[in-house]
Amino acid sequence: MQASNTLWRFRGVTPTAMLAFVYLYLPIVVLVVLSFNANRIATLWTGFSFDWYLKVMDNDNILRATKNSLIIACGATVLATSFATMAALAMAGKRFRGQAFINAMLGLPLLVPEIVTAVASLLFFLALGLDLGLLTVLIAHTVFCIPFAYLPIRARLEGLDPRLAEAAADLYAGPFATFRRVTLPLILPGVLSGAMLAFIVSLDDFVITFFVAGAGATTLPVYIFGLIRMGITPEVNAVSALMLLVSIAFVALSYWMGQRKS
Amino acid sequence: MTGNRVAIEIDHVCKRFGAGEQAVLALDHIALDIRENEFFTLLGPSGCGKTTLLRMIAGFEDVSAGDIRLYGASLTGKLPFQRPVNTVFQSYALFPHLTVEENIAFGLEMRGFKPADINPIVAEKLELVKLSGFARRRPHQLSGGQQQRVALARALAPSPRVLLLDESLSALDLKLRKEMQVELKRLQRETGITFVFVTHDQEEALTMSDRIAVMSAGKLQQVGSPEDIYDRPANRFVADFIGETSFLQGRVADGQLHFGVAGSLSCQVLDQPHDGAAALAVRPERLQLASSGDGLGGVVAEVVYRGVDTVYLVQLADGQPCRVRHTNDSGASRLARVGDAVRVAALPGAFHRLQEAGHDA
Repeated sequence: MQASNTLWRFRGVTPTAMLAFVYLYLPIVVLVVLSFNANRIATLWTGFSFDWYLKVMDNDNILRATKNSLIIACGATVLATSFATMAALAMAGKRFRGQAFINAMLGLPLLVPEIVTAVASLLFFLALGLDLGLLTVLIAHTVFCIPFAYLPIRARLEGLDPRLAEAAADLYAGPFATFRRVTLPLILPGVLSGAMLAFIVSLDDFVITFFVAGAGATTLPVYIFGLIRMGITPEVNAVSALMLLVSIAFVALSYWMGQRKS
Repeated sequence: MTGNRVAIEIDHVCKRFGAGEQAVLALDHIALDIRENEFFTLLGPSGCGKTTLLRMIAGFEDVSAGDIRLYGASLTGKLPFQRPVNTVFQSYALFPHLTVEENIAFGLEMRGFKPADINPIVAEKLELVKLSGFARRRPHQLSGGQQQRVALARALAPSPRVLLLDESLSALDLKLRKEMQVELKRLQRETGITFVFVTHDQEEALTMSDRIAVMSAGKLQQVGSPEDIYDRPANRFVADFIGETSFLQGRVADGQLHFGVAGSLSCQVLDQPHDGAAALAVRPERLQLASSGDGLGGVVAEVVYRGVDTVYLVQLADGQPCRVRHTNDSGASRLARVGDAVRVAALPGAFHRLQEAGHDA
């Protein structure tokens, strides 16, 4: 890389890059390290311990919030990925009027400030007379997960030779058989990649969830926020570290899926 | 070899792309019959509409006007998967996630064949295209020529009534292409299936076809056997597109061909002996160079040595250029040098009178 990129010839580029990485990752490293701290005071290191992780496993509230988070993330992932796949298929088919506009609309939620979506969702649910709870969180999550799931699927479809679907049709496969036997297997890495992104984004979400979750629908990020308000405890560190672990696993898996066979 | 039954009837088919004033007529009232068991070629330069016509038979393009019939039954409104024709795509379009045998079995599965019935057919088709050892490979593990053969086997497996081949050899290198030309011809003979082949390569068309349809700019120019097309081109386009041709302007009078100051030839214009101005097409291999005696006077302007033959570009005395080809079968390769005064003689029936005589001379 150093041979092809002349940027590296300038003095100070390497230290600057390293500094940027420290800036990005040092807080996370500190959080993970402190989650193993034996001391009650989160920021004061006195020794190594797994206590806080055990405490987390023992805390019913945390377990309940985790369960909520997983139910919502799984549900939103399945729904958002299905919708996103259908949208991507529609967009990849024959050109139609307003296609560019619809494509832009599909990506727009990524640009809308989350607080706007949160307030809008809340008002919308109230206007419909829906009780705030797991269902409203699930609906809201499905909506904002769609563009995240859509992009990798669309990218994968773009790279797909349209002749393959024609070849399937030529060989007596109807539209559904063509999708099941040819299109879906070939875009599957994109679909899985999109699904994992959706899962992480859902698992992670705080702002929208905070607005549309009712009393019984507290998710992990919302619960952590509640804990933090009473001061940072090593328990919070441990929960956060666990979430980080899950996120990293999924992002890595998603990246690997996207790379495979492409 | 060629049955008389009509397999595909192209009945005044038009194809319009776009709408309103920007509409382009990609196919202009194409009417032709493709007979059962024949190797039929759609030949023309790129953009002439030949691939569009093929895709219309397969069902990938709508017919704007006219009708296409398969054994008398209209294909209009039939979707690709409802048509008993199979296509070999230019890019092969093999399913990359399936093995060679799964690719070949695909059409049979979709037609509802039982696995027990599929396996022997797949094995037979693999044998037919000489790829028996490659059943478990994936397409990306095969060479271009092998992929081509898998595509052929896959399209032949469901025993289509008609096999459509879209520029199927153009991605192969020259040597492999020559091999596949012979191979395709053999497959067509052995399977007895009607082949409709699209190509822009006139030599390929002449080599393989029972009949050829020459197309240009969305219009049908001529339909006929390779001999018809080569020896009796219907018009200037066909004469120019197929093989090498010199176009000469002359006069027919008293059974003689006159070329002004260059002289005259006794050689008759076979098909249209009537007197008058004549636009003539002549193949370089039917002209000969002579140092003296009968023939048209001219000067050698260029000599092109091509191994198997040598082509002499002769400027006739009346200013018209023509090409003369000599096969280098005796080793004495150079008959004349640039600047030599020569006489050009013609074999009997060398000149073909073009129909649009007087229109665009």
